[in-house]
Amino acid sequence: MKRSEFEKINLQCSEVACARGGVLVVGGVSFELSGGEALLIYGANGAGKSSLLGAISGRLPLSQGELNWYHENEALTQRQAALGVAMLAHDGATKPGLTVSENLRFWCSIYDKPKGDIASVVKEVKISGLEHRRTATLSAGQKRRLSFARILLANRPVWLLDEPTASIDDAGKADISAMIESHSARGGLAIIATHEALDISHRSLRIG
Amino acid sequence: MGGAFRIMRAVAYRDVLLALKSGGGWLQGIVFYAVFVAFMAFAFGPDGNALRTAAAPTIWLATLFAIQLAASEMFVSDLDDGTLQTLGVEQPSLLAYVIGKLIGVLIIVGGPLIVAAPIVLVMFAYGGVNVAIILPSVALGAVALSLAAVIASAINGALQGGGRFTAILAAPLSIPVLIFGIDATNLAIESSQIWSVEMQFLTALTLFLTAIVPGFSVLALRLGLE
Repeated sequence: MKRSEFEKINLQCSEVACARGGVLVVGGVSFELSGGEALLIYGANGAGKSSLLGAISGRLPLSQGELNWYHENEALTQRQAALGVAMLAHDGATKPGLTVSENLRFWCSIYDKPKGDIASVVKEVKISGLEHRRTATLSAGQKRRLSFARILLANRPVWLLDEPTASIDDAGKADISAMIESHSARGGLAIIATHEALDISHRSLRIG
Repeated sequence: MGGAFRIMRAVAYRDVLLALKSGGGWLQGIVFYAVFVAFMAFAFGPDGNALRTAAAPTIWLATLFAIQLAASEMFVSDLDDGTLQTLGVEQPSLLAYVIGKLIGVLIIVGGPLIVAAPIVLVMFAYGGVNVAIILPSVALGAVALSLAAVIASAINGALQGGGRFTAILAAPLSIPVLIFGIDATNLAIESSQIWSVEMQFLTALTLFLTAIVPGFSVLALRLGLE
C-alpha cells in the first residue's frame, strides 16, 4: 500500500468482548479509529490490554461484538486486513543467533521489500554500525530498535504495539514516541497497549 | 502463489542459517544416528547373517529417532521469541511458513541421514552389493518421518509441552511408515527390487502425510497462538 493510501484506513469496534479460557477478560469496548490517529490502551498489568490487542489483531476470537476494518468505506476481508498490519509482540520476533542484518533480511523476504531498504531503516531507528552484531549481544533498547526497524521495513498502515516502551530508557522512549508520531503524520493508524504515558498526540482508552 | 513461495524459501533459508550458526547443533541428528548404528552393529555381534537381518530395521529406527530428536522442538523458538505470533497476525496464512519449516528440517536433518544410509549397509556385512539401491526408500521414508515429526511438534508447541511428548504423538503416523519402509528397503537389498508393492505403499503414505500434515499443523499452531 502506498503511503498516501495509509490514511484511508479505518477501524470500527463495537461492544467487543474477549474471553480467555472461558473467563471474560475485557468487555464492552467500543471505539472508532482512522488513519493518522493513535489510540493508547491504558491499564494495569493483567487488565487485558494484550488480550484486547490480540482481539484487534485477529489472533484471538471475539466472544462478543463486532470489529471491522475499512479502506475508504469498503470493508476489508480478513486477508486484506492482516496484510495491512505490522505487529510488535511482547517479544520482538528476532533471532538471537542471527546478526541484525540477517534478521532484517529474513523479514525483507517475508514482506517482499528490497534488501536495499535495510540501510535506511537501520539509520532511522539509530542502530547504524550494529548490522553485523549478533542480536543476542544487543541491549534491551537496541533490540527494541531492531524490532522497530522491522516494523518500518513492513511499511504497513496499521501498527499494533504491545508495550513498546517496556524496559526502555528515556532517550529510547523519546525516539519510539517520535517514530509513532511520524507514522501518524503520514496517515498511519496505531494502537498501543501500554501502562505508561507516551509523549504523543493520541486518544486513550482505559480498561480494567 | 509467488508470495507463498517467497515465504517458504525465506523460512527454510533462515532455519538452515540458524542451524549452521548454532555451533554444531545441526550435527545432533547425524551424530546420534552414527552412534546408534554403531552400537547396534556391536550389539548384534560378528555373525554376518544376524547383522544382515538387522540392517534395514536399524537404518529405519536410527532415521526415525534422529529426526524426532532434531525436529521435536522445531516450533518452540519461533513461539518463544514472538516470530510465530507476529507472522500469525501479519500474514493471512501460516501454510507457507510450515512448509518452509519442513523443507528446513529435510535439508538440515534428512539430507545427512540419507547420505549416511548406504554407508551403514557396509557396516552390516553388505560390502558386496550395490548399496545405493536403498536410497529411494530411505529418502522417501525421511520425508514421511519428517512430516510426522512436524505435526507432532506443532501440536506439542501449541500445548506448550516443549517437545516432551513428540515421540508419542508421532507414533501412530510413524509406525505404518516403519512397517512398509523396512520391507521396501529389505526387498531393495535382497532382490534389487526398487518399485515393490511395499514401496508403493510407502509412497502412498508419504503422499497422504504431505496432504494432511501442513494444514493440520497450521491449525494446531493457530490454536497455540490463542
